[in-house]
Amino acid sequence: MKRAILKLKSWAGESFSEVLVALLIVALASMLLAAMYSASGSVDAKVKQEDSEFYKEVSAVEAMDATAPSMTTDPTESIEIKDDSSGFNATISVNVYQTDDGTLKSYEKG
Amino acid sequence: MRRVGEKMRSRKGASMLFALLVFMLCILAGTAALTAAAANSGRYTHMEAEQQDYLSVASAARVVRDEILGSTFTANFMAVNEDKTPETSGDGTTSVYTGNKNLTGIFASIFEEYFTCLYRTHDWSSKNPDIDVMFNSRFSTTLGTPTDEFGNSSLTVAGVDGMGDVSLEILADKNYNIKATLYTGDADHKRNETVIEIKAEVKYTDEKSDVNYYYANGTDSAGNTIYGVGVRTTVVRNIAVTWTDTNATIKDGGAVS
Repeated sequence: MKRAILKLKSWAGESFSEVLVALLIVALASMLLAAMYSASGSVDAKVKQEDSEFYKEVSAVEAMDATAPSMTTDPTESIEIKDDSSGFNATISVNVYQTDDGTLKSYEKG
Repeated sequence: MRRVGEKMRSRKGASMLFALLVFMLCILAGTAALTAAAANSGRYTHMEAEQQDYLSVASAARVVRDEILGSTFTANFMAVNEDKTPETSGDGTTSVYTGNKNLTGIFASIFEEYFTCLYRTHDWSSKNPDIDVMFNSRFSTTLGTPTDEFGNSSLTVAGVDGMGDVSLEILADKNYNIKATLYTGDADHKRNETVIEIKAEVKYTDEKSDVNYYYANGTDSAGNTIYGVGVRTTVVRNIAVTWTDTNATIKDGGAVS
């Protein structure tokens, strides 16, 4: 019992084990950091690619470029200009230009 | 006390502290990088809605502009006044007149009354008060003195499926210039506000001419017709209004080309 108490009180060998544990922690931290940077890089690259495609789609829809990829047109649509209070109502035929998934649309007078 | 001093000076445990500090910094830096990337990713969805909002306004503005540019307002009036009408009264006058007006385009029902009122109250330089009664009755409107602006500020452009409604205010001024304002959102928080101003090209034809004319004024003893000379006054008050592309300007918002 006395021997055990002495062992606990002793500082001998502590610096070596401490350095080992510290090295382990630093290694773990480095691995985590690398993994996080790698993940953020992947997300960033994906966002950049989506951004690029998105702006291409926006430009094509805005310019009403029917030849652009992922673009469809519909000449059978119409819009309405109206005012319920005065009874004004006018229907105008339009050509619609939209992305394949229909998220972006634009039109011009048909 | 001595033991505490020793502990304070001791370097044991410093490497562990350093390691923990490095660990914390690494976690912080990694978290910051991931957060920034995630924020960029979320921005995309938001941008899509914003862009569609903008495209809705730009499309509506383009159609409204094309509708205005394709419109014309014409009105014509001609009065012929002959100062001698012996067949009826021996010393009276007789007048005939023709007059028509027409505003084309989808906004005709909004502006025709106002434009007719402007046409009627125009300061015609030919000045022939004799025909004013005929002129005014031919182009009578419910509007008295024309206001500086006239139009409709509560129109809605209902687009195709998937495109939000766009508010439209359309006003004309005394010079027939038309201004259309389009936006999404409510009037207090307008988004993508686009203003189209289209100047009118107005051509007046304002002429008065007098010519002599012969009229039958009885017969002599031999039965021959006696002719008298009268004055025939012709007044023309015409207007032609067009709205041309070159005068169309976009003050705010996106390209409406």
